[in-house]
Amino acid sequence: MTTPVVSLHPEVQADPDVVRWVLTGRTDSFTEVARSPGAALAALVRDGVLVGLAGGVGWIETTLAPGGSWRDAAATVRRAVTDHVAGTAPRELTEDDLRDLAETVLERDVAPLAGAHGGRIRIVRVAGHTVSVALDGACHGCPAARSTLQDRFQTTLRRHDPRAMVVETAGSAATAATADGVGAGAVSWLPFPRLRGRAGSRR
Amino acid sequence: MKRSKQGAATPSPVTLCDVKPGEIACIALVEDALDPVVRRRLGALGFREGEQVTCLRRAPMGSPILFRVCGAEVCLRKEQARSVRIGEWSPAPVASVS
Amino acid sequence: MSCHGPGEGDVATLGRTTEVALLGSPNTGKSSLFNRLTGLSAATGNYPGVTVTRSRGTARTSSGSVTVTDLPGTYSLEPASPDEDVVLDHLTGRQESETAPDALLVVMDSTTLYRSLALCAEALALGRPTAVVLTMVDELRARGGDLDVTGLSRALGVPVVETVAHRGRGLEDVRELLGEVASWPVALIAPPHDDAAQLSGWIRSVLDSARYRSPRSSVATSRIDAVLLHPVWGALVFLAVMFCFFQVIFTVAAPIQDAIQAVFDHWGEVAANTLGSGFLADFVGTALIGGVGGVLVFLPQILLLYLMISVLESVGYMSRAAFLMDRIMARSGLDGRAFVAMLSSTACAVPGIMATRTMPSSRDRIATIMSAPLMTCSARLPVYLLLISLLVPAEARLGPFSMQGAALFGMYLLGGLASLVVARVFKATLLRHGALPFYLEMPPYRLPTPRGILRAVWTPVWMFLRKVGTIILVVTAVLWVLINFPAREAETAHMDEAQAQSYVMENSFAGAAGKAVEPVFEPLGFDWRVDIGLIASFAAREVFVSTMGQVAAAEDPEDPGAALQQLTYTHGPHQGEPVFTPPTIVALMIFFAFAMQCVSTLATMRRETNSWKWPAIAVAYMFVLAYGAAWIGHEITAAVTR
Repeated sequence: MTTPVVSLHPEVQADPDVVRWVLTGRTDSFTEVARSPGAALAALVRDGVLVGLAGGVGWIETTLAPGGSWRDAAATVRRAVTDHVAGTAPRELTEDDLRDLAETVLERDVAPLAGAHGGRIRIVRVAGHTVSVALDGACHGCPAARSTLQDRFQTTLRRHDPRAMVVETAGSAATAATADGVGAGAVSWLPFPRLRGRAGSRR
Repeated sequence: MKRSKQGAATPSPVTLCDVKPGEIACIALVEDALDPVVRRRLGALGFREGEQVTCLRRAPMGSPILFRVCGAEVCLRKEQARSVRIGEWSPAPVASVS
Repeated sequence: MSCHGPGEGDVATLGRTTEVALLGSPNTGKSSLFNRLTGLSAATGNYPGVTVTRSRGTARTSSGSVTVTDLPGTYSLEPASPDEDVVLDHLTGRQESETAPDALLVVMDSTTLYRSLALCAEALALGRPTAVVLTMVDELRARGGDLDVTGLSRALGVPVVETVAHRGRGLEDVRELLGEVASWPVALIAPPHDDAAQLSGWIRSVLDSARYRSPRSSVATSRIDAVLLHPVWGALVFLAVMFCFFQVIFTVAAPIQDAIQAVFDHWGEVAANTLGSGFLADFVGTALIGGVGGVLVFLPQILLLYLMISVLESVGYMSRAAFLMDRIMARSGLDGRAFVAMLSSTACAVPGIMATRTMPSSRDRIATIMSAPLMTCSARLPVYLLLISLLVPAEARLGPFSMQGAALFGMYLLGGLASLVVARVFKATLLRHGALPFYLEMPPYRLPTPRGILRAVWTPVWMFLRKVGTIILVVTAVLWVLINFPAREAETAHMDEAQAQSYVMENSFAGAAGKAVEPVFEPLGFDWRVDIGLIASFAAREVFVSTMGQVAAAEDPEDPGAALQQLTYTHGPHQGEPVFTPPTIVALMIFFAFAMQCVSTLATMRRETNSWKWPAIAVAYMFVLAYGAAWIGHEITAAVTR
């Protein structure tokens, strides 16, 4: 292909004016987007279409100006984000980036898995490329659960940072973000709190 | 990857019709001259620019031709296959399918 | 966490049930899901003015009933033909006779998710409350693929449910999902379905989020196809399958049909005996019971044919047959799928015409429907057998073959060739416009469920019984009246039964009609009694044989066969000469080969094309063709035998 294809899809956040553009093709961080947006994004902010830009590992969030509608703005914003991403060279992850990423992955993917088994997992510390976690509840003491969770966490992190490592520690004090696993009443359609889901795995 | 543009005296471009069973090709262009309806229908079936296509087999009389594209197996007649231009393709068969 | 605007997903449910439309590509198990959700409450109907059908039924959920509409399978919402225009109009509320559905349930085959997401993008862009059902998830995993439903759900922004439609697992989840249709979200940001590059990026991104791993190609399918699509083995298997078709029809269906006929004949007699003699007895016996019997006698054929077609279709073999036959069918402008319809029509055009539903192109469907009745159907067989016995002596041989058998084979060939030529002509003239490119999807081989097969067989059979059956009954009754009135009681008082019957018939309305049209058919050598037979056989071709039988029995009750042979013209330039001379017999056979003499076929045509225009065209062109060809046959035979 002569033009590189940028993989991205929008996810609407709790605030309907905020859209997170998930860039699955990129493993680097876009925290710089607010400080140095590309030409198109900057233009949108200047013209008052967008009032906020934020970025993280593999995502960019755009906040629509009040009174605007995504129906009208979506195409333009998408193009601007695409241009920015296409024009930005990949950057290596910093420790902060890794921490943000680890928190997100934990909340979304790993903690629910732990919760389904009646346990909890939390981040104790992030140093360099190593994330230290503590496992409590049913997970603590179950070697299978431990290795599964750790593997899962590590594999997901490694999609962005190939050098990431997840190790278990016996940290008792919660220093970094903790997330309780969602309990046995896990909703199957997680993003839709209004929909009652059925618990249990389907695997 | 070069796209072959239609010119006055271009050599006959390689199309899906020329792909042998077992070979893989990458779609370069779905013929501009085609009826837009036909082009959209081919696209909806998976014959989109940039997609990888594997020729699986041809019918006893040469038409239709069975392809694997976008995870599904779809047949096209020779005439439609001729209107899909392909780019680089590996002449080495991946797996013999007969 | 994501959530969409609270007000945008609300659905007004006061006063009527919510309607959810099922949208998805063909071969995704969508119809199977629909059937399991709606059970027997489903009804199929046409969109006005086009041949496309959609089914609608009611699904029970925990929070009440929901109307579910099964839209025709489509690969894309961008319409490629008037048929597809109608579907899009329905979805967007532009169709006058239908309200737009309240919500959309997109059904996607998880093994071809990469392709299906394009349709999903178009569906989300419609801006309606949407949810997704994934089917064939067990197959995905069995073939080495994988998928994270939660990730997919988050990426798409809609609820996603996994199912194995064939075996009903996940069905309860779908019901629950349907129960909560009021809170299905509307996509705030439409996926970029109009820009190819952006759409590609969107699809890849969504699949990445869903940790989608593509399945390997199905090993079993590849292995089986290596045989079934092989130029030699595949053709052999195909011939064997087609042979089975024939065998089943003639060896299995035929005895059952005879049994049914016998049962109804018996009841007819019982009725006649209990009700005494007189018109009521005759009406109940002949018209009513005979008519019902005439409808039910179709059943074994239709049931068996449909059973075989359904099994082959759900296994996936039909696509393979179409693949092998396409080159040949393409010569007459049809596609390989028409082969099944044509082949079925050699038993009976009714299931053959109904089998055209699988053809996506409306043009091809109509061309096949118009030409399929020319294939020699089993109703023509009794007529051919009778006429051949009059024409060719039983002992005559053509080399090692019986001449009679060869003549029969010749008629089959004539029908087959004629149908291919007529299809070609239709495609070139009346159906010139609106071409759809040929494509054929080859789904992997899948084991069908008995329930699915039964449902696939039951629906058309029930439709036949209800719609077509009514028409046959009505026509039979009308014909009975025409043949038996005026009653002529006075004149027939002193005749014996056979003679009385014959007299009544000859002087009835039908008789008058026969005499009236006699000049029309005179060049073909038909006399007015044959013409009565023709009129009577408009309901069904086999009626010709029984009508001729009545005529012959009147002449000579002991030996109707000989009587028929010695039937002479009663008046006109050939008075005294035998009627059934070779030219007349040939003309009659050709006439029967080509003329539309089957009310059931007409009724089925009406049903499948959703208009009276096409059945009318069929009657007209077939009459012209029959007359012309019969005349040519008459002249040639006369010249040869002079």
